[in-house]
Amino acid sequence: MKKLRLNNAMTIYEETLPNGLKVYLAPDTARHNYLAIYGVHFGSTNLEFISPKTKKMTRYPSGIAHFLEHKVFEQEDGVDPFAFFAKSGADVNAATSFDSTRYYCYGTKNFKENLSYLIDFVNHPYFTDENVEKEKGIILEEYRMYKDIPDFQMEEMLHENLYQQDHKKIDVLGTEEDIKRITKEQLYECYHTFYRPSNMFLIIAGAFSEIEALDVIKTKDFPNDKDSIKQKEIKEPIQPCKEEAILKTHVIVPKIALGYKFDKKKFGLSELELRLYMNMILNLTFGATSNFMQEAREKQLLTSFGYDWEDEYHKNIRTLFMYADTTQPDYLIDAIQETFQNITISVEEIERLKKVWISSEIRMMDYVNNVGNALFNDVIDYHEPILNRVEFIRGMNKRTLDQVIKNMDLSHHTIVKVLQEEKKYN
Amino acid sequence: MQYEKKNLGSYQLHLIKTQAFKSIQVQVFFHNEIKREKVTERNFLVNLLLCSTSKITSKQELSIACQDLYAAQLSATNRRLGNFIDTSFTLSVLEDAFTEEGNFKKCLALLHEILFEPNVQGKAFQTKDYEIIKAQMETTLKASKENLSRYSLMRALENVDPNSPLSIRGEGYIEDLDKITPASLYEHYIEMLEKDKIDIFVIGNIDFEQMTKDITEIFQFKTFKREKGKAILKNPSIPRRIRTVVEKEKLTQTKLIVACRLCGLTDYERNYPLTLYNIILGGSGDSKLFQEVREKYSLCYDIRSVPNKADHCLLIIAGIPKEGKNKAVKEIQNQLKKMVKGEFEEEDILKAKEFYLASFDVIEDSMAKLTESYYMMELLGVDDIETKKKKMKEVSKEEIMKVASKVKVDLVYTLEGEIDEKTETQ
Repeated sequence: MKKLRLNNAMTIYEETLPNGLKVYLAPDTARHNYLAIYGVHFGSTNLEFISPKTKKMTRYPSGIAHFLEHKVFEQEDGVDPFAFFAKSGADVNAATSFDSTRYYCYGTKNFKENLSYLIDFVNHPYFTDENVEKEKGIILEEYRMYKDIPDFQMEEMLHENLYQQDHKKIDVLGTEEDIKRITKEQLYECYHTFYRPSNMFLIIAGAFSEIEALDVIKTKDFPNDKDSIKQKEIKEPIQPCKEEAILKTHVIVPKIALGYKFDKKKFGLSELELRLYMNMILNLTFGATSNFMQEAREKQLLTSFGYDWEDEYHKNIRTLFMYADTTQPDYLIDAIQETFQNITISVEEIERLKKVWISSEIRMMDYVNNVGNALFNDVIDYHEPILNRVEFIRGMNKRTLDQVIKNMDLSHHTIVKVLQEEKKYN
Repeated sequence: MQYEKKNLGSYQLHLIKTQAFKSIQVQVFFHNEIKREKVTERNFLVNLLLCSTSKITSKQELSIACQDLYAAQLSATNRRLGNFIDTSFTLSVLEDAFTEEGNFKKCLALLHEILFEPNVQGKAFQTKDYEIIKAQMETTLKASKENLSRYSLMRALENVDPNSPLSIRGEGYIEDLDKITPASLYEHYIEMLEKDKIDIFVIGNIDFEQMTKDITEIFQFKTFKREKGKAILKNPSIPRRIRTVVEKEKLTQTKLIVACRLCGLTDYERNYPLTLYNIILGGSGDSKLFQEVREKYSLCYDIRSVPNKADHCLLIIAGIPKEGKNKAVKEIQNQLKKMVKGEFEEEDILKAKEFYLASFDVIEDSMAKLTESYYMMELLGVDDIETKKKKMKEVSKEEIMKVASKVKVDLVYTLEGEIDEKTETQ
């Protein structure tokens, strides 16, 4: 087991099993709880790959990774994982994103038994035509639940208009038609292709010892892992699919969403550096301490505002999303675009934000969930934990920041305006 | 962990020493009897106080001041707890060992400034911030209908008993906004300081003597406070029939809320058997409602039961397809009957006890949960953690069944697609 230091403040352990499974352990004796995450690099965008059955490049229905996440809880012996974990007062759940699926349990007792079962149930799901059909009703209700939320509708349209080829065009849940046509066979094909040790990882944080965790993991059966995964390579053009769109739905306060595409090569920075500098620019230009935000407040322009920089491992395009609830959509869009053209950031501002971020890194270690989820995000975004983020932050400087600002080509974007439908439901 | 409570006349100081965190959290609670006509103003006031002070005259400057203090976090919340309106201001910051000597005291001074040196002119708040907050609240309150899940919950409670505090919307009412003036807000502010019962909690790796000195130096409320009566509402009468309310909105998924009254529960029943009853019925992923309504009949993605103990109310909440309403309601009623008949296993009770006890094990891993736990002892007079654990272990099946017999369905509320509204009886 490799012993590593996280920001020189916490010890974590890394081990790669002979079958390729990566294990990251962050024991913390000051805690009473533990979080164990069993993750797989398989999300809603992994839709086209060589089928293990036909050996041909095959396009699978959208939403299949999420559907599979639901069905992995189905076991041949009829034991319900929820019931198993409930015996020791532990919680279990799962989540699917564009590029990953995670299964996690969170508890205070029976660590070894629960970890063992988490690995077992994910490694041995059982699908039948009947249980697949049954799940469709549940997933369609989940889909309808989101469909009623204007923010969800807006994000869905933003993605649809920003991407041309990337499967991020479609939401993680998939389309209603695709959900209805998913079969048991397709689920097994996805499962056998992606749920294999070399494409999976385990992250555990909190109240346990690294020795007991590894002892449990080493005794488990893992799926066969001899073939490599061959996926269709998708080249996403820098141009958006559509530059502007209006969505009319049951909003009272209009919303706007902007999506920008950037060519990663133009920045000449590592994935982490680019994320940190971009977030620094966005925070200081649009965040709580910015002139933009103060003016927006004084002019009563907005009620909520947010942004999100997305890393996409191994892809050429990086994206920035901005969202706002505003009474004056057009005015705010102009104000954002104008602000982007005139970014100036001082050394003093940079140093202040560095202090804030370093404080946040230290505080993060107070909570097991934060540690576990931060490690998970690193493994997804960078394929390994970032051990010295604080050092990276300390090294940030105005020269590089100005270079990033200079290289920001904002010409490839899409805008979605969400307005109230003519028909009122008061 | 150590806990100490000091009665300082005008407020109570609660000190919790724990070495599990690198931060210190200070939370100042104000509570008083809730009045519908004052709720909007209380929300307005809290937003206003976090906007600026007499020395720091804008939100932008306040955000910068927090960041300069190593990312000190300031926040405030309002909530209804039974008969009370409960307002809290929270400061959270790394302890000096991770920042610099004296940083925490500067943070305390900032919290003092927020609470005692508001941005006022004479006996009224500054109009600039007043206008900003008013516009923000107006749009937020108007937009409350956009979140249809939350909206359906508010409407269901309003239909349960429009004359009871349980129907009061914690966020306030748009029609009250115009009645609020900078002068009325100042009057409300003075009244809050002088008449609300105050509790201050400090949690972290603290020295009790030094902290008492620091807090008493900085927080000097001038008036002695009386008890504000009981948080728990008066016992409801047994509903004579099940009422059905159907409301219409533009939505895809029907929001179903089955509101039950808890009739004649003793304090013991409310704090112990009811908790287990709820976990078994709909309080976990392994619950009866989850297993039957979701897993067996595929009628929903999410279904849960939530006890509002101080309101003598238990809500069963689900998102369902419109055509599945009758079946879902029938199945919910069926599960309620089974609980009365004792059609659940000893194993269900054991799992519920484990679930409950595990939630106590993690309290010490969260500053917010620890504070809340001690505050609830203060406000609702519930037992301490050790007593709760001991008593909960002793709860019997008969006691849970007795509680089940006191759970009476009062209202079946649905928010469905389409327009128009009707009320009928069943």
